[in-house]
Amino acid sequence: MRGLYKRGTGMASNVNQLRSGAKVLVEGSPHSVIENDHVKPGKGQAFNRMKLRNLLTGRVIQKTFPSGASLDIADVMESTMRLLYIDQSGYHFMNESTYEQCSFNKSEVGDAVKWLKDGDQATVVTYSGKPISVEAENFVELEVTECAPNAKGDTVSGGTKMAEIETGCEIKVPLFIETGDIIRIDTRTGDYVSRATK
Amino acid sequence: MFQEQQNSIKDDLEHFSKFLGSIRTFMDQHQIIEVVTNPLMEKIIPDRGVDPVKVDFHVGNRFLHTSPEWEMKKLLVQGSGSIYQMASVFRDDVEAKWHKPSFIMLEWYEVGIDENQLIQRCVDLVKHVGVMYQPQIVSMFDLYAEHCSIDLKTTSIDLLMTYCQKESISYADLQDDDHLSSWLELIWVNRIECELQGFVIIKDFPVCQAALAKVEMDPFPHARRFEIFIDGCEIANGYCEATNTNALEERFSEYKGPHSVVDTKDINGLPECAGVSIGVERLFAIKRRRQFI
Repeated sequence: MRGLYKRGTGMASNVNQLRSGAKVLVEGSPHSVIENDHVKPGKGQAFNRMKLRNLLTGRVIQKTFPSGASLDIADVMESTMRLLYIDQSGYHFMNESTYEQCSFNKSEVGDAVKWLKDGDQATVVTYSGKPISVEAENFVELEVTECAPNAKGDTVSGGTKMAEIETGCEIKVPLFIETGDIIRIDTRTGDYVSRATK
Repeated sequence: MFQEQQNSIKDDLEHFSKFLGSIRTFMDQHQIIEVVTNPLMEKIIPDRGVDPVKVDFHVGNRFLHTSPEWEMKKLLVQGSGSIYQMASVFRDDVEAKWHKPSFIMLEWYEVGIDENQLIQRCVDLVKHVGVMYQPQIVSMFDLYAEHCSIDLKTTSIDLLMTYCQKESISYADLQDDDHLSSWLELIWVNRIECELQGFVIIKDFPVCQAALAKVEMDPFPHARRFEIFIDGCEIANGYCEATNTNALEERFSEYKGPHSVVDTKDINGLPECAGVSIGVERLFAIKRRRQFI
């Protein structure tokens, strides 16, 4: 039980009241509610069928609770922070309203390393005060640092090639993109969206 | 834009109207008479999980019917023969994707047939209204055995609780946790219902979930009740109707609420019949391939 008291907020909420986005403790881990639906088997009592994402592992589970049940609210905070700089020790963020700073190593930043560069804003999620994940903004604009030159007369539409962007990550881009172009990327899917104006 | 929206509402209404029409044609073809009964009840039919809505009139309090079953059974007693009704019914309940506090119920009774014949009729109706699925008929006993290795013939609250612990199914705040059926429902919603794909008809219920169905002792005790699911959504609940009012009286006497309860004498002499209620909007939504009602 040691340390358990820190995980919850000490508040509980009836499963009926939980909307998507709520952060709750399920089997001792923080989960985010994705979906919460009311179900009632024929001639029976009511239940809440919830889809939940484990904030530590990313795994999505489905659980159905009696409608009278309560879940502890997890001590999870999301704050928008600015990436000050990246160095060998990791990624250093600052909360621009409290000036509070925190650092992550590369593996803790996870997928977001593909999209983050100095000065970017990101959402930092903490659990019991400890940072657990970083999410880049939904759309980012990054420079193409290397890609095969555009062959002259190559007008085939729908063709793609690989390009390296300034964070070091490779993504698929249309054939007309050239080194030095700034492109817009949807970080949720990792897809190229459009060419951005320089 | 405005024109488009107008067309789409007209389109929706036409589809729904044709859908209701096709149900009526089906009933006509089988000589089942459409009836309309009074939706205002002076007394309630006690039913766990179904809460009636009370309304105040100058003449006194009334309850909006949660199902037209009682009034229709009274007609059956009087010799109506096979009847059906499509009625808005009301329940003091929440609103969700597949669940509304008011919905249209197709309630239907056929005299002189049993639940197996009524299942076949339901399959025919579903086809008739244009929902194309191949039906699969399974026993509730087999479902619990296959999905959870639970034997409904011998299980107990203790065994089900152990199962929930093992499977990490949360049972905190389960209502009526001294009833076997509450535990079965909890396991049902967690492990079985979400696995039902396609057009599934479930028959042979455990006796504790008999509700208004006849109980059969052979070859093992089970209730002659059935439910129909399409892709995990319950669309119908049917019974080989219990004609013995003693069992009903016993169930009604368990009701501890403040309201007065209907008199089982009302349906004394109910003919041998099978009855089913179908969620009309749910069936329509499935036909139109919608994810909500």
